[in-house]
Amino acid sequence: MNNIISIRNVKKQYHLGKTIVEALRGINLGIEAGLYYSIIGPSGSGKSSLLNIIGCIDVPSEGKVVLQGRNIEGFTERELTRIRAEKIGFIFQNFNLNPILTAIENVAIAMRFIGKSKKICLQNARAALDQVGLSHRTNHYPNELSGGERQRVAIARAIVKKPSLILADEPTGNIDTKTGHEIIRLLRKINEKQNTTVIQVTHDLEIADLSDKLFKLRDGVIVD
Amino acid sequence: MFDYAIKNILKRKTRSVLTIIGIMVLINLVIVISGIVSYQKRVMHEHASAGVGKIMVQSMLAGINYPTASINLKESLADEILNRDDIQDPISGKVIYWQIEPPPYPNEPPQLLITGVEIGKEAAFTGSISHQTRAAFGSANFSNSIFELPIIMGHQAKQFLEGKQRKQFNIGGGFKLLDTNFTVIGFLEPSSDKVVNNSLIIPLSIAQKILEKQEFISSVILFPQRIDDKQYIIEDIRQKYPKLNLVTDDTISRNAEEGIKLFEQMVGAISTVVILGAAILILTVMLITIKERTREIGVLRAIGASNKIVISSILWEIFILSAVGSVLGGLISGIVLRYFLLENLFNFWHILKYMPLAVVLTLVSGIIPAIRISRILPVESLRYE
Repeated sequence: MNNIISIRNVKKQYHLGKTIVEALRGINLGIEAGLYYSIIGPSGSGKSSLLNIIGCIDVPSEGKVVLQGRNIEGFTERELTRIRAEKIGFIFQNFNLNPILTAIENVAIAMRFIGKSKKICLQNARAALDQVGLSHRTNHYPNELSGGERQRVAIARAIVKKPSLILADEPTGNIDTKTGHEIIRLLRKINEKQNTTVIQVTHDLEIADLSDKLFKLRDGVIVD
Repeated sequence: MFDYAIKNILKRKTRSVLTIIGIMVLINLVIVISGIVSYQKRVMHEHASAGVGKIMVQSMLAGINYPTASINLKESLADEILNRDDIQDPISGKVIYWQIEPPPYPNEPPQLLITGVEIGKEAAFTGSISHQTRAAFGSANFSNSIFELPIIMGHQAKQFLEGKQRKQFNIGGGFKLLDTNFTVIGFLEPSSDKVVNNSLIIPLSIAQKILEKQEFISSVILFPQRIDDKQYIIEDIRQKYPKLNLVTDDTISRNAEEGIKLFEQMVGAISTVVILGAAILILTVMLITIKERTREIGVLRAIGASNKIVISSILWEIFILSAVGSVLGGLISGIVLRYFLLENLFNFWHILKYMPLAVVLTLVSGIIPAIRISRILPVESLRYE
């Protein structure tokens, strides 16, 4: 099995004042390269916590996350940042586009963190926007775009650096159903054409059914 | 990340403009206050050096100020003091000082005053041991005047009155002072002695009459025949007239030094409060600015921005804002120092010296919150609302 990420007995606790919230209670799973995954489960089941740990933007309280054969516990902050910059593309539910940057600048900035020149970044950003069907909206600011268009810009930002893994946290959560399905079709196309592993968190079973593998989470554990 | 910083500045216009104004006000206050201080020091040193070689005798009540505000030294006593062989007769004499306009800044002579001098002994007041203030136009003494009520205007006094009355004075023209019509007979060239510059000089007897101070004067000015006689004259007068005060260039220097010290302490305290206040203000603005960008920074960190990139983008932004604020503050300070004070205190190097202050202060205030925010885990920044 060609696992790009292995998760072993991962637990995550949060401190909300004096209360300890157990978001993940011992997760074990392996992510194979090139597949399309969905993580489903009710609110508070730990889906986003798991995605954040896989994406190296959070660390587990217990357990191991093995990335490229190494436990991420052994990575320095700089190494984790480099992995996020080069290998992982993030797509958020609420887009998280920078309001002061145009669509092309929002996409290009993700490439600048891997040290590419401004010219190369803009060239690749234009190509990525073209790939998501937004070549006519390159110089628009996020507040000039519809929800679906904003999410396409976010997808372009995630794919511009050609990552091996795309993490999408409820990518259709803030858009209508029709646009939501278009977004998922787009992600699926990227997954198939570029062999990019995609892990998405969703509530929508119809969308989840389009994936290769499905993890069902409840109360911080995988139940199916 | 310079272009990103520029975009941030341009997009957050209100915050950027307010920050620039804050920095501008800080730099402006510091430059103007320190400009006035350095001007004051120069004036005080000039004032002290103007009396070199002079001995001034005045009443105990008159104190050791130059010029004194009092006219209570008996003229007969003054004549007795002047009656000695070891002084230079033509440049030793009696004077009266009467303030018309108060000093513009602390420890300065009045902005405009009447000085009554003896006819033929004008140089006792307008001269020093090395220099005699001459007339720029007309005459610097009353001896040859054909007018009954002549007046000589000091350089600054003329400018002050012309500005205030919005008219030009001419030699031979009239000038009304304390309900008396004088005729202008001369304008003095600029003097290193501010009292001379600010004086409207009239004959002593006329001053006594219009001020209703007949038989009284403010001060006796003595110039020793030889500089080596100075100490002997001082000791001799002290012995003979123990109830009188003697003011020498040393006294004026000492007074000036004390005045400068006091002024510096006062201004130092004000500047410290201004700088501290500004530093706290800038720190607060920076904290708020950076805090409100927590989520944005979280997104940047999540998509691969390193700590270094985040810090550099914030510091670039702070640097640009403070540099613009400093330059504008410097420009406004220059205009204030050049046009809005009583004298032109503009000094380019002085302004340039203080301009980096705001940049350093702002960068120092911004670096701590910038480092703190860059160290927060991306997931925590993303949760921030």
